[in-house]
Amino acid sequence: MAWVQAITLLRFYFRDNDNTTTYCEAKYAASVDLDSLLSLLPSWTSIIAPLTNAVCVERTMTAQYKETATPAPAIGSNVKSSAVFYFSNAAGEISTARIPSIKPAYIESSGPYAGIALVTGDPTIGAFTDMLIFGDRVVNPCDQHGNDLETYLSGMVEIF
Amino acid sequence: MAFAARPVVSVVFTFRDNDGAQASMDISLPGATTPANAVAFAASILPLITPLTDAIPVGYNVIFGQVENLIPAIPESDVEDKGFFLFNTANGGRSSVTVPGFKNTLLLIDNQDIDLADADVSAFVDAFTLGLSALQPSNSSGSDITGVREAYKQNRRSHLTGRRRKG
Repeated sequence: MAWVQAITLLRFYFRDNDNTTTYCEAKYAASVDLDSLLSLLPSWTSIIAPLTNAVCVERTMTAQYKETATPAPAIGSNVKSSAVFYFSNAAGEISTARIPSIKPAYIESSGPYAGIALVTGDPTIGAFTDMLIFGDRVVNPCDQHGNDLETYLSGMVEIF
Repeated sequence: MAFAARPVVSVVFTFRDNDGAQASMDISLPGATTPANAVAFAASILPLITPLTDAIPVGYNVIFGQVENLIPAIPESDVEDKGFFLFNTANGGRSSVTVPGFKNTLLLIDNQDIDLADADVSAFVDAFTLGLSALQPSNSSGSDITGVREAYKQNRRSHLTGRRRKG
């Protein structure tokens, strides 16, 4: 088992006058430097644009990683049962993070929130939530709007 | 018109359960995060996630985006009218690329085949076959694209987004 880098995708999303959007894509081998590819986005846009009547409205670079050999998932695992972690953020709002198929060991087994709330004070949960709040000393995560995560409030189980 | 970086870089982890169902979770990083730092962060948070789940992580993507913040009026166009380019690859395989909303003015007289001698088309093909800024595109298995095999216009369905209905 090992994590390896796979193909990197450069995608250019074009929109037509019906407001429909789809993309043109270039793929690169894992060995190609990501910084160089990111700086290539404007050049690709300039090369594709003269060929189309649609307009480029977004472009992305997706670096893909995959596990070379995955073990069998645990019996009873269910990705529709997620742990939802609630954080306060720098904008004074609530942000969330989810982990699919939370292990039963991290769900309260007694009390009024049995089967609903995540256990409190657990060090494994704490390591995850601290990483989201404090980062890895280089990168500090945020929510999807760019707001810094400040305090872990609670965690609940949600089934979709 | 100007492209601006998305406010966040997205790290998306995909998990699979024992029914074979998959789900993803995403973590956002500040938009100015460099690729190296984002990739390193993804690798360092994954071991903190896996003890909490009994599903298996099967892959993750680190996604950097730039959006056009002033979209001009879009001329009459249809992104499903595509320029279809089929390329040969160094491992003997094929790789296809489509250009949405392909211009009719770049077609040959048969109104189907793409004029590969056109300067703009040629620049596009060369970017795949010769590389762009010395970076060589590949197919899905990582084999270099070496030449164009055929190129024609075709109406192809897309994975559509943004279609609006009224009435």
